[in-house]
Amino acid sequence: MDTPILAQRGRASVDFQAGINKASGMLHAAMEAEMAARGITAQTMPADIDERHALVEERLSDWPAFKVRQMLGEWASKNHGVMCRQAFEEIQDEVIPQLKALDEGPTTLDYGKGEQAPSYWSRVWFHRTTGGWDASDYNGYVHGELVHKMLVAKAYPGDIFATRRLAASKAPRRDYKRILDMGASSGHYTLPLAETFPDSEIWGIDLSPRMLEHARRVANERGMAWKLIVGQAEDTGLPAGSFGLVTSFILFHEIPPRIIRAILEEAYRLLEPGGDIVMTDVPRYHDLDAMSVWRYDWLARWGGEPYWRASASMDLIGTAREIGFENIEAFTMPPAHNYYVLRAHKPA
Amino acid sequence: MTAVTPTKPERPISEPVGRRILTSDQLDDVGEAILALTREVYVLTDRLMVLEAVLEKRGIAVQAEVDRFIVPPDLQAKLNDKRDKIIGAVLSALKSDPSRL
Ligand SMILES: C[S@@+](CC[C@H](N)C(=O)[O-])C[C@H]1O[C@@H](n2cnc3c(N)ncnc32)[C@H](O)[C@@H]1O
Repeated sequence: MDTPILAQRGRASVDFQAGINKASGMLHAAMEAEMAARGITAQTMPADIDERHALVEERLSDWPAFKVRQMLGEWASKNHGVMCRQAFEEIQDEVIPQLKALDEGPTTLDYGKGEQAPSYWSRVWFHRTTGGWDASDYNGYVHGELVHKMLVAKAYPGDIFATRRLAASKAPRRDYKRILDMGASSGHYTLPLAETFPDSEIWGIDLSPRMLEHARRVANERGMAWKLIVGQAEDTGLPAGSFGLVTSFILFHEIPPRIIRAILEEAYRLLEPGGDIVMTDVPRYHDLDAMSVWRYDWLARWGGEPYWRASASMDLIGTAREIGFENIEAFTMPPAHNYYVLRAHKPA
Repeated sequence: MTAVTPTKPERPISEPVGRRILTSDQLDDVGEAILALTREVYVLTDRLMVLEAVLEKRGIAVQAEVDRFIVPPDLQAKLNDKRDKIIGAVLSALKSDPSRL
């Protein structure tokens, strides 16, 4: 799919949002400088995270840019999805036929038996995207191509696609017969997996049909034959011992810890003996200083990430060990070290 | 003295006194409204500049061309600069111009 040529209103709106994000970033830096000037540092932050939020709010309450920084963040959270959907609507007559043409191809999409999505997922609008993952018929395209490539990619440090390729390359072997991407979404990680493992059969599971429909387009466009399934990563219904690698990229922070545990158990069940997991997600709070934890937690708190704190506080290594994995390793990835990789092995 | 001494005109009783329509709990909404407005202003600014660029090329308004216009890097740089100034102006009214903090 070529980068879409947005109509003027959509294009200028996306540029405007990028300008707001830029101003927001500058205000955030000024805010942390102001916090330091008012005696809040990594060393003086209270142990309890909620108390950290309370302290910042109290100390900066009379500093106008604190409110404005929040307002810009609020605006971005509430409007980015709507803005990109509107930008899509301006060009949809031209784009939809191209998207429809990509529904057909070597990749299959199994919509399941119409089970109810779990409430921890269906009741949340992740990233505060109005309507959630399945907000509109073409949300996979809107999110995958517009939100992600035109906004997130610009606002996030580093190249978000290079990071996914790097994560895929962390799997210890290159000869897996079958690979499962959990939380495959619009295929942004599935694609580098397919490219890194050209001889493997690529499977993807996700709760969102709209996102997987976009993954199907991404694959079909390249003539790739993925097997996509609408379903729960913690209860895939797939046969035990059928995958060499089970992997995910930024799935865990959108899930409560009990489900993360269930997902790791399911991954263990799905792996053939000697198989591997590579699960990449946000940094662990216990590896970060108090200020960095506050910053992540603040962004998560207002950014539609209800499980981030619990998820980032979870001991993934201990959980993997309890489940029976061995050779468990965990590390962050350069350049920004803003991703944490859990790698482990099912005994042969 | 024939001239009427100008007096402060009496307040018409039809005018309400001290009326405050918005209440402080709507401040967030006001903030949001300002941003919505800022967006529209920026969109218009952008449109005009692009329109000028297109007109210069063709000598006539061609709406479709504006919508399909791929902004060349030099114009994009000018647009970004304009955008940052407009955002700065609004934020400055809120005592938060990022370039001055
Ligand atoms: C942040 S996205 C990650 C997308 C993708 N892996 C990437 O690299 O961009 C998280 C995805 O996980 C899906 N998801 C969340 N909980 C899930 C679950 N229990 N089972 C399957 N998919 C899930 C969501 O629908 C969403 O598409």
